[in-house]
Amino acid sequence: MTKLVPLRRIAGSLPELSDAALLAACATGDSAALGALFDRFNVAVYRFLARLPTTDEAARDDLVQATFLEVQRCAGSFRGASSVKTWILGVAANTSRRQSRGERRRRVHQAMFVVEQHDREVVRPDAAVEQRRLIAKIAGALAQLPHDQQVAFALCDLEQLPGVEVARALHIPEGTLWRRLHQARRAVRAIIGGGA
Amino acid sequence: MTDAGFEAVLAALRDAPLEVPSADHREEVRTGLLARARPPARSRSRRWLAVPLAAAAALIAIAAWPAPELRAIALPVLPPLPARGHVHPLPGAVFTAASHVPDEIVTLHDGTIHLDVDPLHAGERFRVVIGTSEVEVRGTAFDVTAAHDHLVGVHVLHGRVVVRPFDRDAVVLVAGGDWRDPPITAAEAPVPPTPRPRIHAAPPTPPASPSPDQLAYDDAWTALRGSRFDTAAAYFAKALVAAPGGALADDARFWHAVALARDHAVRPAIAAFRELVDEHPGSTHAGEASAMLGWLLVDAKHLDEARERFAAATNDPSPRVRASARAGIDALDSPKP
Repeated sequence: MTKLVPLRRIAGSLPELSDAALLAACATGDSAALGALFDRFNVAVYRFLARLPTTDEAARDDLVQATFLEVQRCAGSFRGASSVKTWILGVAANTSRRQSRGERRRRVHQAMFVVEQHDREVVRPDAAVEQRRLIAKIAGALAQLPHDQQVAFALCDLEQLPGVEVARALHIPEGTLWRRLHQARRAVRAIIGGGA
Repeated sequence: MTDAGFEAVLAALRDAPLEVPSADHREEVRTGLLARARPPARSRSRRWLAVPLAAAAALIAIAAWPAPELRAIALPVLPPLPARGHVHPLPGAVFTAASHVPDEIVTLHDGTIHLDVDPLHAGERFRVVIGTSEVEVRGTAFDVTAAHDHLVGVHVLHGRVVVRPFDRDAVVLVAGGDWRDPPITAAEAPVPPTPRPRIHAAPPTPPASPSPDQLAYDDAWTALRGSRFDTAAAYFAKALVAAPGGALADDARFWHAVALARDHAVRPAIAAFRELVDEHPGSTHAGEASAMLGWLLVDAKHLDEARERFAAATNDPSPRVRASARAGIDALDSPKP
């Protein structure tokens, strides 16, 4: 019998190290630090990716892994211009953009289908159902936006991260971020105003 | 739609349930991530050396394979675990890859495995643990045999191996060296007198290998002395990761912050000094760190906090630190142009 057991979690959660210190250790290829970063931020990355309608849900695990591999690869370039969380979510946004290019058309089609389904099932007047319908409708509207606008909306308006940090993490001028955010908000307002 | 109405919609979106996989599922993703993660970057000068060394080790392993009956066995090459080498188990071998770089451990329970281990970087270790014994290598090809979690034999094909039996002194084997111990079986009773193990080409036992945190700490100081502050900061952080509660942790934490400051990474340096001062007030560097933090905060225009940090350093035992803290307070009190 021959068996190979996967990697064991290295003892200790490294609670006393700052996020930046972990990232610095990660830059040297330290897998324990990478594991600790994953422990701290994987839920945030999953949540952020779940907010992007154009990310492929079935491949989300791969996307999370790809994000943290990219975090390890680029850790040496972190200069403290934003919080580590914002920086990692910026990496996730850039990683998801690459994946979503090939998936976008299919996802948009699916999202439109979902909206149509919800439109048909509006039969009860209670607020909870109405709110779910509205959220689904907004998600459908967001799915039709360019990926960059989705990211701006998700990071600034939903995750409520500081715009200055988000712009730095995405390597774009602040003005570009605000423009994308404005366009995303306008699309959401249009959907709410037109159909809610 | 009013702004208030839009905010209400945003709040509803924020509170909408999001699908996050279970903890078990995320643990699987984590394991997969660490298996895919790259090892520490090799320096250019060693990268070219690794390929011929690995090839030579493989050739030697094939040429010197001792038992004729074993030559007929196709040795499976496992997936890239461990990262610094390849494990070729013989049929019946039971082993686990227990930890990853920088301190890779393969636990062998039964049978024989052949290992080809690449040359290691500073701070890395590669060990085969059998019960309470262990075999440590630094770039070699060798066989290890165990029976019922007991180390039975080691045969070195290439390189150098340190054998640490639980009940004997450590020995060092070089190429061609053997270490043997009769296997212990459940049927053995009474136990005959154990012959001394045959030791070939065993030079004097070297001093114990430095720990990963010590190695990282030394690398950090080398970088710091060379004015490579970003590298120094990374290695001090690595030393902290390797042993957060170790004897070097206090110094590593302080010099990590200093290296960041010297690298002009102001925000990370401020965060690192704050962490040291606020969460480790008993640190021997707390006063000096507080004064340094004060000056960084002055530059960052956080004047109120800077004053607090300087004040905290005015009672430091070191006259140099006290003088720095007082100079900081004086600077804050002086009229601005």
